[in-house]
Amino acid sequence: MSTLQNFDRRRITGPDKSLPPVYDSSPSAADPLASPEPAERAHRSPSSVRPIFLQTGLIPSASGSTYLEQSSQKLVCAVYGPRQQPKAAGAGYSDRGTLTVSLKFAPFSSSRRRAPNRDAEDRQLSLRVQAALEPAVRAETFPKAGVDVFLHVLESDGLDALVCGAVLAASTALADAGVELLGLVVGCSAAWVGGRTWLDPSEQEARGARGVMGLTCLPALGTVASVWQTGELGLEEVEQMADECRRACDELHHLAVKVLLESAKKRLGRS
Amino acid sequence: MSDILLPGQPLPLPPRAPLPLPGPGTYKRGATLRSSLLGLPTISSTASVRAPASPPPVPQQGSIVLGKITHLSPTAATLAILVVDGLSLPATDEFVGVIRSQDVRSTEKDRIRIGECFRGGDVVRAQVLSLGDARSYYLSTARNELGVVFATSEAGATMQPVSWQEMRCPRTGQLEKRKCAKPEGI
Amino acid sequence: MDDPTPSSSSSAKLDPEIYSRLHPRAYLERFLASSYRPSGRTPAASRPAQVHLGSISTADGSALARLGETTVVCGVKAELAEPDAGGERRGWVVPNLDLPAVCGARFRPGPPGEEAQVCSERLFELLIECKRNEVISLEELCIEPARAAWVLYIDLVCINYDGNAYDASVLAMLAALRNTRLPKARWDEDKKRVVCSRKERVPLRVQNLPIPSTFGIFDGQHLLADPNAFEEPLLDTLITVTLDDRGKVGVQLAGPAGVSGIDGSKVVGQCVQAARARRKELLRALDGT
Repeated sequence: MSTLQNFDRRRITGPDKSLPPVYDSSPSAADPLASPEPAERAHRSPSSVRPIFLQTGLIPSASGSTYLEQSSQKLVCAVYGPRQQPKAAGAGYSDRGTLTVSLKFAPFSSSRRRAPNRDAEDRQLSLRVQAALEPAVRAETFPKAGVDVFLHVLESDGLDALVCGAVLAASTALADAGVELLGLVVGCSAAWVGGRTWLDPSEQEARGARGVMGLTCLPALGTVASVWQTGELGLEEVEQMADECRRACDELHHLAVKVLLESAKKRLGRS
Repeated sequence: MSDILLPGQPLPLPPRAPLPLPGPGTYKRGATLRSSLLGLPTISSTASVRAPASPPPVPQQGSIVLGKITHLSPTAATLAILVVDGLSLPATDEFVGVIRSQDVRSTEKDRIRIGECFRGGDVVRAQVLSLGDARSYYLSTARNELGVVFATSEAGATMQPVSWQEMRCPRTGQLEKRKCAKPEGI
Repeated sequence: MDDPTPSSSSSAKLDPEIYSRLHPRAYLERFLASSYRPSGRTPAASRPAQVHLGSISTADGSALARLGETTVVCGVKAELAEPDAGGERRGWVVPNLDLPAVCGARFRPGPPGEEAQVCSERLFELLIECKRNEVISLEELCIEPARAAWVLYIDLVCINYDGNAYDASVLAMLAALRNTRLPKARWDEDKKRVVCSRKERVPLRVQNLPIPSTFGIFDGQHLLADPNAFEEPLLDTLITVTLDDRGKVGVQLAGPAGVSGIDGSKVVGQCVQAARARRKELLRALDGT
């Protein structure tokens, strides 16, 4: 339901209340998640992560920027700074800089239109991405100043997968911007369905799963940056999912490395 | 594999040499030095990594900055810092600096009148004294080569410095007081 | 305020990038004295336009438009609503442009600023103003009088800002509308609601293509077509000339319209002529890629 505020002076508003269309029949393909414990994953293997297209330099006026496309997930990331922060948090200045991550959805980015004022979800996802990046950013190299990471989602399919995509895009943009990092941060999400791990779940798959988790890490150092989990999962199940996520992260790291090396070569004038 | 390093990658150090000091763009973790930037390493007694693209410069103690005066008070002049150590900041991103009256010049510090040293819109070369407080960097113009490098007269013309404390308007011939930077070559 | 040319002695050692940062007006003046702009374009040249259709699968219609570096993505999503009294036979079009922090250093997170608000208003006017030749007929959005009508949410996001977001937004919006297919809908009297077909989609009928061309006046002397982000803050005036299918011309002016050496009324005429040529180019971009 797309309920707009009655009177939002800052935007063109339509009717007070509107609803998405109701269809005459259910989706043609039988929903594989209709049964409580579906046996097989439709369209991909359980350990497959949707292929990613990653590109840097989309926004020349930013310090660094990336565009990430992963099947039905598209987002843009821009890094600005280090620059003066508008308000100083806390007393005086700190000898560590600040990292601020702000993720925003375009209204057309999901199957149900997102009204512009949905702050709570944006904030929670921004904090998840920030928690993953913070351990890697050497904030002591830009005291008193701040680095801003902005993410704008054009299309999304699975929020945990989105956070992982955002972490990859932001990491790559930070490295491309020349912000000092302990290492590149990448992430992978997983859902527990029918007694197995399904990596990189779509929104529909996540909804039908017993539990979902996400893991971000720095493969160069072998350290974990952040972990989150929702739903009901046993300890061994979490361990198994975390293992598979960790392994998938190595591949994602290779991709980020490849993209960054190409970008650096171009800047250094090499072929 | 190319010689370009990635963040987190160990530096290619000669096997039996002592560990160099970690310079800019590197950090020490356990017994190895790793790169914190996407770039090329330089290894001698200190190791450093330089990125082909550097982020906008951040003012540090001792940096020479260029900025425009945005605000004057009896005790201080506020500056929008636009250039740091010869590198200009991206458009619309500026750092805030302040020149307190005791840091304008090295002599007669208690007899300063800010309005006779700076005016709004002047371009000033200054040096960063310290990172200052939460809002602004503390700057100084208390050296010969620091001070106003560009100013327009009340008549709207670009003025020329005639001494360390006066500038002349070419249109009206009038003198206006400023704390001028010594022009290069003199 | 005047920004006179700095004397050569103080600027002799300044490198061009620093000079442009400290004295942007003087920097632009110097280029224009040789009939060029800092970006290398001539004053009359606009940037090449590119349009890509249908990239957003979650939208009913979408497009991406680029004017040089300025990039705007538009997604159209259709919902259903009950018409209010006085508008029983009409639907709605709800355009909104977002200039988010991602697209440029001067934008910060938060609600739409003035520039975005003004642009959204202008987009709305553009859609509904030509009576009997609107871009979208609101009457055609009605499914059942007084019961149900389509609401077209036309959301635009700038993902890279380099000036002239308005022209790019209009291109993206018109392209996205032409790309829009609505589910075939009928009013079910028994269920007392609209039922949509999952299989059949009907293309939205776009009646008119009003194409804008924006120009800026610098220093009361130079007319600059399609200003970029460096030039925009230095301009006294912006002129937008909009031409539609039937040759109707709309002119919007913000600021004094005088250009020294050219009669005020002739400036507008010059812009209209340039806009005619530009319209052909932009229509090709809308059709082509």
